[in-house]
Amino acid sequence: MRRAATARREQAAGAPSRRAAGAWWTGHRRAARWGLAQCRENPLASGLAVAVMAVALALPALLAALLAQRDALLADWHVEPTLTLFLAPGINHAAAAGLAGELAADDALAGVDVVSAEQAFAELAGAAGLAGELDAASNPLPHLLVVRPRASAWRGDEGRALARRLGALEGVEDVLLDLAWLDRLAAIVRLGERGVLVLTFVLVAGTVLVTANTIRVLVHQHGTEIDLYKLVGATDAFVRRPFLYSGAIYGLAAGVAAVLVVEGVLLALADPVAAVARAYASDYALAHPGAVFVLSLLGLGMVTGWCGAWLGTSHSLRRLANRGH
Amino acid sequence: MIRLLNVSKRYPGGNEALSNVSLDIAEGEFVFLTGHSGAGKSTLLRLVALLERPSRGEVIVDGHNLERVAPPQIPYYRRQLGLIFQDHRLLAQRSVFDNVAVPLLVCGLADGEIGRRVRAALDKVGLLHREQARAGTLSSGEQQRVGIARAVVNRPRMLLADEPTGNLDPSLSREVLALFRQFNQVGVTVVVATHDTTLLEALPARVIALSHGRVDSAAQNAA
Repeated sequence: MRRAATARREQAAGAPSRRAAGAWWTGHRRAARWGLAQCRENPLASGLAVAVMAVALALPALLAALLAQRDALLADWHVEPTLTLFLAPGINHAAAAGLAGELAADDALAGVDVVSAEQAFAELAGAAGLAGELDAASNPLPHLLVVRPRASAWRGDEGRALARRLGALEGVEDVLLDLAWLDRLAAIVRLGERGVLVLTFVLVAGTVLVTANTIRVLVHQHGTEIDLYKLVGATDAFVRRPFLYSGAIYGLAAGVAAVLVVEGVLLALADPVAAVARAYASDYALAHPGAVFVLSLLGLGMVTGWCGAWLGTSHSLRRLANRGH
Repeated sequence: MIRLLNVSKRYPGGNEALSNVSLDIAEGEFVFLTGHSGAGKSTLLRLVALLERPSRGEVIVDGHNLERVAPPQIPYYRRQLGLIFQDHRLLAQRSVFDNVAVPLLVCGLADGEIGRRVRAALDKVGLLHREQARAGTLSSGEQQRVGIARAVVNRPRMLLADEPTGNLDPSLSREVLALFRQFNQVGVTVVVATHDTTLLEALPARVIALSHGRVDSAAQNAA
């Protein structure tokens, strides 16, 4: 008995909620259709708006895509850093070779070369143009180990930590680590990333405003219709919905166009970049943006279009409200 | 059904459209609201439709004081009304069907239900055969009938018509009035604002006469 009553209550509660869900879905389906129709009504205005939005989105997207090439570029440039270990004067060549053997087993290192004091002296003398004039017996140089760390042991501050660790080894007197150029590169990359971020922010804000203005004009064109809808009991949300869809559609179209622009530019750069790479005896090639990049760009376009439409309709809805509708 | 208590409406600039108007319209009643242009007929209808708020006094519809209807609730209140205008307010580029469907779209009804209700409303005003015609191509009388179909499609309990026969010749005016009469006979409260006194002779109904923003009791008694 009680169960039957509960079932009846659930049925009574369930039916309207299903109806409400149906009405919600119907409302959005219609709004999306109207939104698309509105975009089509003014092909020229729509096309121009999409073009402006596409350019504004493509510019930061392009920079981001180029910036994303840096990892592949660095890996391919053989710019692996090296550490030079100056061994203590008391360490003889055999001990140096022994230490090199131990270090070769170290996970953080990709390779170790021994440069003997004699080799170093000969190189120095050769470089100075004094070969034969200097007395090899009075060679003041110690034996050296030239160590190549693995890339994983080189990210961020790992390089310095590695240098400290190697410097603490017995028999190692000093470590020479040329980090200045790495620091400079990292700083430039950070600058680039920040620049792209700022530019993205400014241009996305511009995109929102362009959409807002386009949608405002659309709303104005449909003024009579909107007045009528409000007269027969349309909510603000109902009036606004088709325009939000229009904005999102503009944004999506602009996103697609921006992806095409980025791809086009990368395609145009591919040959010259390959030529440069060949000149440097490298097989480096520009990487194409991945699915995440493409989807983010489309998403960014839709969100900016939607926000712009919200902004563009807010003004008009306030104006209508002030007129007493 | 509709009650006004000491209602005044003053527009910015000092023009007082209604001053201290009190009246009572019962549920299911048919009422003419008369007076020369500027007497306050339209203002009164706009107050009842919540298109405007009174400066003073209370408007009570169906037991609800409209003062307490908050702006977000206004759309839902308005769905209970059928509004008819002198200039029809049709979307000229759209079909007759689309025009009549507007109030139902606003309520989010399903397509099938909309089709049935729109055709029923068009059938009542005798325009079922024109449902695909563009509203702008219809004659003035037909356009007003489309406006009426749109006003009744949501089955409102109250019809408010502002000069519904303003642009129509006498025979068309009588047709329109006959339609209002039909809806009134099934229980809909009808308020028709008009300056056309010949209409009053065509149909016996209560007359509320407005003059300079006040209820003119002398004229009311005479009618």
